[in-house]
Amino acid sequence: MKRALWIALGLAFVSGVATSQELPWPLAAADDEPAPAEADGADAEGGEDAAGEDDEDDAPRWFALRGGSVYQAGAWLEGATVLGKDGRIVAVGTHVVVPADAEVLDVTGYRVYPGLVAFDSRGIVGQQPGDSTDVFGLELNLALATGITTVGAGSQLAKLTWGTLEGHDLGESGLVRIDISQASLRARLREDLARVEAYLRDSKIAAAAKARGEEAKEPDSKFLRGKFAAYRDLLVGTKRALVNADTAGDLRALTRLTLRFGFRAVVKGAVEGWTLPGELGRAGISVVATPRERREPDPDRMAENGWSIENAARLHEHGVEVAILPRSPGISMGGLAGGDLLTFPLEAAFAMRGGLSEDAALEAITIVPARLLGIADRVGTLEVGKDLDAVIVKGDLLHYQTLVEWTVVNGRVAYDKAKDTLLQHVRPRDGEGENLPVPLIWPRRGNAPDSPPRPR
Amino acid sequence: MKRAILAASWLGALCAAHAQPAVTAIEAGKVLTMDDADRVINDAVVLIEGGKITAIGRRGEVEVPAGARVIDAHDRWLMPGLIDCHNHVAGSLADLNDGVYLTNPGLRTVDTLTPNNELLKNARAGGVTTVMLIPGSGNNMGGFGTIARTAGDTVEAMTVRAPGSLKIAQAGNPERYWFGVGRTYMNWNLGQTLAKARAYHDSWTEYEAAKARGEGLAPPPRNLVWEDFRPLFRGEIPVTVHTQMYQVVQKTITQLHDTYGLRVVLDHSTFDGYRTSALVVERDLYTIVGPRQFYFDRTQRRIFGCAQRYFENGVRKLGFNTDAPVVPQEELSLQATIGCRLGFDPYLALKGLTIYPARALLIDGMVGSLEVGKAADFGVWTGDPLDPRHACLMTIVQGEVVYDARQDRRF
Amino acid sequence: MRSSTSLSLALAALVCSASLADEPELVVIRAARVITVSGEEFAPGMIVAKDGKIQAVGQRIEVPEGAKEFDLGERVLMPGLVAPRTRFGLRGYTRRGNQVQQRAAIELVVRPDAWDGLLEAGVVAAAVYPEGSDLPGRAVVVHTHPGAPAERILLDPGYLRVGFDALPGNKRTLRGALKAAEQAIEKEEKAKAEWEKKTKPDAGKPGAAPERPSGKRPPRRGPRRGPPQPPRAPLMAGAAEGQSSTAPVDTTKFNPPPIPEAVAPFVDLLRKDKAAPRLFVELGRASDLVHFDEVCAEVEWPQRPVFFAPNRSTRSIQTDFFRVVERLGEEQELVLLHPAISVEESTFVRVNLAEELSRAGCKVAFVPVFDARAGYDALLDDVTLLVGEGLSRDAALKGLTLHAAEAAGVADLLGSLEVGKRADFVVLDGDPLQVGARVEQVWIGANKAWTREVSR
Repeated sequence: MKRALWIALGLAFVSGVATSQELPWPLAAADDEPAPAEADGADAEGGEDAAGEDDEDDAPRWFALRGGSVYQAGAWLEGATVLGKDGRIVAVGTHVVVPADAEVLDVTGYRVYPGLVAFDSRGIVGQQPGDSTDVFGLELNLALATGITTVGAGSQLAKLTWGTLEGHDLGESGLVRIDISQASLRARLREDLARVEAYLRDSKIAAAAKARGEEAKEPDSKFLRGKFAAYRDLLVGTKRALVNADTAGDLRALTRLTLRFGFRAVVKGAVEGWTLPGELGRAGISVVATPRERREPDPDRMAENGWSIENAARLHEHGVEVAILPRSPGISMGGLAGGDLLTFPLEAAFAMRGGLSEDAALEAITIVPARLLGIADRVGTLEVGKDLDAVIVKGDLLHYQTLVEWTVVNGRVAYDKAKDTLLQHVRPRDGEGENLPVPLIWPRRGNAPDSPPRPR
Repeated sequence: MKRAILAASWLGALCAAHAQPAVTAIEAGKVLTMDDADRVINDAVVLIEGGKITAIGRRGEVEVPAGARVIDAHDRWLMPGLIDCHNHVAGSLADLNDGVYLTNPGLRTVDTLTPNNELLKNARAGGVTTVMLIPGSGNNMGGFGTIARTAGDTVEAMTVRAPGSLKIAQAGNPERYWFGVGRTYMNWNLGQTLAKARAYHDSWTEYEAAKARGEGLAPPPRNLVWEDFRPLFRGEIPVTVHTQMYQVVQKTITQLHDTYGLRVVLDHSTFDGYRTSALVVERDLYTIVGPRQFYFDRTQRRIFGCAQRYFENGVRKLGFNTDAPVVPQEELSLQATIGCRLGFDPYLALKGLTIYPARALLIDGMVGSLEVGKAADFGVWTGDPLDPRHACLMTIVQGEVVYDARQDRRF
Repeated sequence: MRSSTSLSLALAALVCSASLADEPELVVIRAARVITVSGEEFAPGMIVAKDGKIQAVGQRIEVPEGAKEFDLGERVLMPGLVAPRTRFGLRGYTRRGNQVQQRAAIELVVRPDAWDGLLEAGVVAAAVYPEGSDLPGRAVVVHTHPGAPAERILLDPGYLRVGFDALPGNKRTLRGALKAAEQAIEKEEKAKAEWEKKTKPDAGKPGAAPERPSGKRPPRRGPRRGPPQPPRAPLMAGAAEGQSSTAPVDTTKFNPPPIPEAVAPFVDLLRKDKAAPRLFVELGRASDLVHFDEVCAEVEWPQRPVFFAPNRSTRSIQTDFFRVVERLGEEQELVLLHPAISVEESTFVRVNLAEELSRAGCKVAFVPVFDARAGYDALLDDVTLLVGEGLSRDAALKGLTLHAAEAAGVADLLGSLEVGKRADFVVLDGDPLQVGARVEQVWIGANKAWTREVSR
């Protein structure tokens, strides 16, 4: 009950409309009033308390972003509200009624983008996120400060929940790692896939025969374990393959495989993808690209080769889904900036330099990686039914001077620039952070007196 | 295939430039002159003749001579060619750092200049036209650097000035030269070398003065090892100092500037080097920040942009470097971008890519801004050069097109 | 020096054991000031002790006849310090995994001077913990009184140590232990239901005597628990099939299936048995508390666990526990800390965690950074410095005595000067929270156990 009151108070301050007279004091007073003295007063009170607590636990957790320009599939919804219930979006629009007990963040004058999705990451969440993420870690903090709300981490997926594990672990990504870097590996893969393909065909024949009422022998499925089980998922289309490939040769080999066996693949790298974008597009291959990944051209080769800043744009033009990832998917505090997740949106900006449209660039760091990771139903856009993950900025997210003001994950403010020391002092938010600029002193926490107290 | 065509067309462009009329006119949407008046001219015309700028102004104010070759860039921005005070890729990287001794006063990078190498081509694609090729920081004195254009087919054509500066690495790398090399020894050893150099310089200065007075003094013995130090002590070329962190930057200022009277350019100056701001302001030194652009101040749990931190503390002569190949040369503008992301002012950042480094290297009479009489070195950009979404489409060095994205897009 | 001290201690031990053997002894001790910790301070003050226990404490008490009187002059008297987490006097080895049946008591070193280092720092009781990660076993609480180790044991087994520092294995082990306990309970309930169905068809009707699980704990094996045991049961509950055939089956009574030793403590915990151990959770960082809370979200402990929130390492003063101060304060947790000003993780921002926690409502107790003589020698001064930085005097004193005793599980015996508790106290040359205060004497059971060889 008390918590509800505090939320109400917070709401009053945030929205800036309610004055102290308008605060719901009567409600609070009623709660605090002692129970009437009765013979069984204690029991009654206990019962009431228990009921009250239950109410609190069962009550939905409302969260609203009010008044912002909300990015919706390439268009801006001005003065809109995004309402979340228990971390999921239940309404987006200009006429959304916000429940009285909702926590409201007034973002009038700000833009609201979907939370960013990093296809891969290092050191931001634990190796087994649910069991070992440091939910107060510096890297996690910095990733949130960049606007990242969801990350892939090896084969794992996690939401960047700050200070809580609720909704943190998203389990494994639906990607099957395959290696095509050598001819021998490709040959082996081809054999294995053919075996699974034969099995699938035979079992289909058997099923059809049974349906006709004929006697049929089911193919032997004992081998469908480990990699073969994964390959079956690939061939039936429930999973995508993940491949590291950069050269046109490797990419072409991959297209032959995907076209032959009919599975979908996600290529990490694809530096020379721009030399065969049509082939990749036709083969249903998606790409996780790093626009500035260098690979100096070999002038002795007859075909076009090497890197191109236009890679992402050329691929996208040809229908290839493109996600963007910086060269280093970690966050380094060494001071060399511009190549890791700390400047994630700038990497998308470089893709625009190469000709990618703004919408495609935004998608490349939100919904496309979400789709490739198999979690597009949860994250990547601000749509009803998805998680309330948002990045709130003043101005254009892809502009180099734009820093994230708030990051919301699962309907909770996970980062607030004005309340976090990290970047508070850079273009401070209006009316907040009066103590800036910061002097070179060692600040103290707590209320330490000047000198130790002396005994009587 | 494409490369071959490109090479051909590029050569063609060069030939064309030679064959064409003497005057080239560029019509630009916006010209960032970076001059002292901080003029930004919209809808401008720039005239080029003999590799130099002959006129600059609003369209209509500048008369385009009949028969001039006209480059239409009416929706583009013109920006002086970017200048990097800290480059290692204009020469062969294999010869980055010859470490004969811990201090190597006789070495010169001009011996390693490699015209038109791939990394230089990339540099031009980033709008970079002038770089200071210096030795690495594996020892305290790597030798003399060379100020070079990023374009030019011969060493002579590339060279702006050699020696361009003396490279000194104060600390933070030369320690690797040999075990037992620490700051006390490095500073002492460096001092010894500089003392010898100054003694040489002084003996010749004395001789020259005596000669001027008509006294018949015997000339001191000539020693080529120390010859390049004479312009250095006369203040005609700067000393480029690899220096970073509070204590080390302080030492650079007090030792090299105060004790030896050298024209110090503080290169890197990162980590918490900004804490020396007061000393830098007092001596009016140039500070070229990079390749690190931020410092995580653990006393406050804050990420500070190094450039902004210097600026807040009064330093105005600020530039940016890449330490290419640490950061690719073509990403020089990105270095300033990061500085601005963390608080620095974009216009000042653009100056930090052009006129301030030009002044720091004492070549501002030739390059660094778009002014009549200066070299026609500039980039044609699609927009704000600091915005990664915008690119340099064409780079012109001494009036010649040395990069054209329409033919060979590199960045 | 050391040998002479031990010699004098041995002599003192002889003397006191001789006197203990005699008739009930009345002792009166006067001092310039008596700090009770739990109540007021008396100046001057006095204590009356009988048989080593406090009979009265106050400013002016009528002295019973035949009492031995001691006048400590200008000195200050306070309860003896308690070391809630030490390895003094223990030679053990490190364990991993679920080892809850292990007891530190069996590893105690049988040597009279094992705890001299603690005694001389004013520590009268110490909880000695088993080393290791995950669930390495139960602590033993000893008093530092020189004497035969067997006589020194105040509590065995003591708290159940949980190593919980960001390793996925920690979380898995604890989860497994809880699950095994749940299964054991389930199994017993099922067995009981079956037995009731068999023997008492009318069981379960209203009016049947309510079950008291604490009184009817099933037999289990262990060095100090229960009568002779049937053969060893496997560690995991699920694997312990059927009842032992060697035990005679009494069909008139319900014979619950045996609970494996490794599962018993958590069964007790889940049943909120009075005999259940208190958990002593050693965290590595703030995030670990979030992970712990997640594992134990459904569990209601009979006693709140004790948390140890150390600095990041003995060589580092970094901490991030300031992030969970609110959470710890909400539950008024008992938190053990290093008595030092820390810095926020990856910064030099100073934080007086003890002060923040106690202000938030936590009980705080102190563990020296170094579990060595030097650490305990500096304990008083370290805490005094925290007081200089804002920690309240009350919290500081309790953190050394009463709360430390509570953490060790012996607050009913010592930790404050209260009637009925042990007359274990220290005598100082001045106020304990004045820099440089020195322990001059240690009294255990109203007997002088140690005196500083002062050269004034």
